[in-house]
Amino acid sequence: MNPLLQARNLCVARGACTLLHHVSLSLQPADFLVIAGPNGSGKSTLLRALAGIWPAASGELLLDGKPLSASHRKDVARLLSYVPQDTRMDFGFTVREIVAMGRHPHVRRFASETRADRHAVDEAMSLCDVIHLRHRTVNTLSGGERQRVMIARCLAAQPRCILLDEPTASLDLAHALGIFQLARDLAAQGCAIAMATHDLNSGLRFAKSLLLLSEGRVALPAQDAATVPPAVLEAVFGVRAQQLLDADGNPHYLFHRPSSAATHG
Amino acid sequence: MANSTLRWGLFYLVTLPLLGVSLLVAVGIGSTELPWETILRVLLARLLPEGWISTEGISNADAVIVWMIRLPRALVAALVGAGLALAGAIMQGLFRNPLAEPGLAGAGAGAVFGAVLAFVAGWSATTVITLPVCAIAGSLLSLLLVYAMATRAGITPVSTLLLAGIAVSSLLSAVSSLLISLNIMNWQVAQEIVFWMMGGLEARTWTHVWLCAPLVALGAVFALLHARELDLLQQGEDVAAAFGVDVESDKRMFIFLAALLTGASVAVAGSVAFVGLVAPHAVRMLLGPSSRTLLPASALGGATFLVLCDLLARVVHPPTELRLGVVTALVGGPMFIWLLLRRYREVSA
Repeated sequence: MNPLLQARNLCVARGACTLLHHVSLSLQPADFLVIAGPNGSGKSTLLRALAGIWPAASGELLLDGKPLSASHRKDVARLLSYVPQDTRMDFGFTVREIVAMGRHPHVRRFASETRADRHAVDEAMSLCDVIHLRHRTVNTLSGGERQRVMIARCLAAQPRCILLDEPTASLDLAHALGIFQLARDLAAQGCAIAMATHDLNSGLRFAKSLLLLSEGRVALPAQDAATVPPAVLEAVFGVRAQQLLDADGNPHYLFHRPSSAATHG
Repeated sequence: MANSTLRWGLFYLVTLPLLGVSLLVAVGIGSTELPWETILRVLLARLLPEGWISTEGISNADAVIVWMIRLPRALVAALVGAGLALAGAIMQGLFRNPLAEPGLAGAGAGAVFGAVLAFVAGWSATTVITLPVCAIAGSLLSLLLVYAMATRAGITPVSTLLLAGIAVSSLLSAVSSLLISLNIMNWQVAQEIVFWMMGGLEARTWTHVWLCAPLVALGAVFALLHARELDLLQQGEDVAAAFGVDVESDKRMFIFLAALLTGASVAVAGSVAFVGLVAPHAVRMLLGPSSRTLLPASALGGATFLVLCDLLARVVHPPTELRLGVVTALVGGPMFIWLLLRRYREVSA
């Protein structure tokens, strides 16, 4: 199968500063890739570059086999959607208005909302469990609700590939697990998902594969989430990782500061 | 949904007739008292096909007062109000800030500078169209300067645009003040400039209507056609790009439209404060921030507001007219404070 999204030797620079060095990865339909790494390792930069928002300084980025930078933005947006980390809202748009904005890549300039648009918006709101909030204004929502609205907006575009930037960063346990589950369900329906996160345990549990970034470089190429060597986690995050196996034999980790190794080890 | 449709309907049900009545009253009231029948007959005789309405018994002078003096003035007021409100709505969306005003990116100060230059150089006395053209040119040129300053490698961050706009605005205002102070001995010119800078619509003719109308219409149509893009830009530039907006080119278009609308308005009315700030702000509170609703409703609200303010400027203290910019600030200022307080109470509640 051809990869839906493929990056080869992607380098990204802002001004004189190179933020990403020679990153390669590929996403197939139904993939769920978690991208992890310490702060400043380039997770958000990678997602912005993959979404085509920040241009690559060098390297190749193919969406559905075609160079992404050569495609029209609306054509890209129909295939690939992106949920940024910053969900700041200044004006009181309603939830439905926000989610309907996701239809932008499908709507022609003079056209108004069609039945297909309304259907896609309703379905996206149902999937993300925000349909009961549709008349609320976004600035009255909790962090978890707002994050689900952002994901609903991206689903309304009916993309085949979704990039999520730390969607669970400010969420409580239940809501965070809900987002991971939703991402896994979407992948099961054939969507390709890449999610940056700091929640390694949930990432390893829900995702198919894990890619580690460190200082703008790939520290661990995407590989099966079940077979990630603890030593790599320790090296990348600068911690000591203690592996535990749950009842099903899936690995979980307890992380310790390296200095505490002597006292507890 | 039902609630917002109801509000929308109610808004137009109130504002549209209010604008119509305001225009009619603005044409009906003035220093020369004319019977309503005369006024209506002059208007209808002009608007309906020839021969439908008889103008027998109406003096030529009365017809001139209604058709050549009062009506164009009222129409210019409506156009300027609509133009400034549209420009304000665009800028508030673009800068993601409800306190942004039309001239923010240098267009306001640029228009004033162009006009002051026209006064001082004596160009304004040559033809009636020189002054407005200089003002429009000033607003567009200063916008270009601000845009060029804020753009690096094809990218224009709105924060840099804001800073460059403030810098260029202060500089141009200082140069305008310098020109005025150098010519203060020439009291005739200085007085003209000072009056113009306080905004006003006396002696506006059909020439001004035809100068302003196409630009405001152009700005309105373009802005409306890109209302969805304006909504998405308010979600952040990354989000807008992710959903298919060509961020840099659309930003450029919106800034240009706002400058054009501001320039066209300042050109025919001088500096008129607060319309561009208050009208979109108030409409957003009533109807929500969605640009496809906000833009036309703001234009209508701004037009109505300015026709009423101009009417007030004429009738409060006859025979002296108050300056229009003073009236809008005196009426709009307290309105704005009230809106802010209401918002503050909502937030803290």
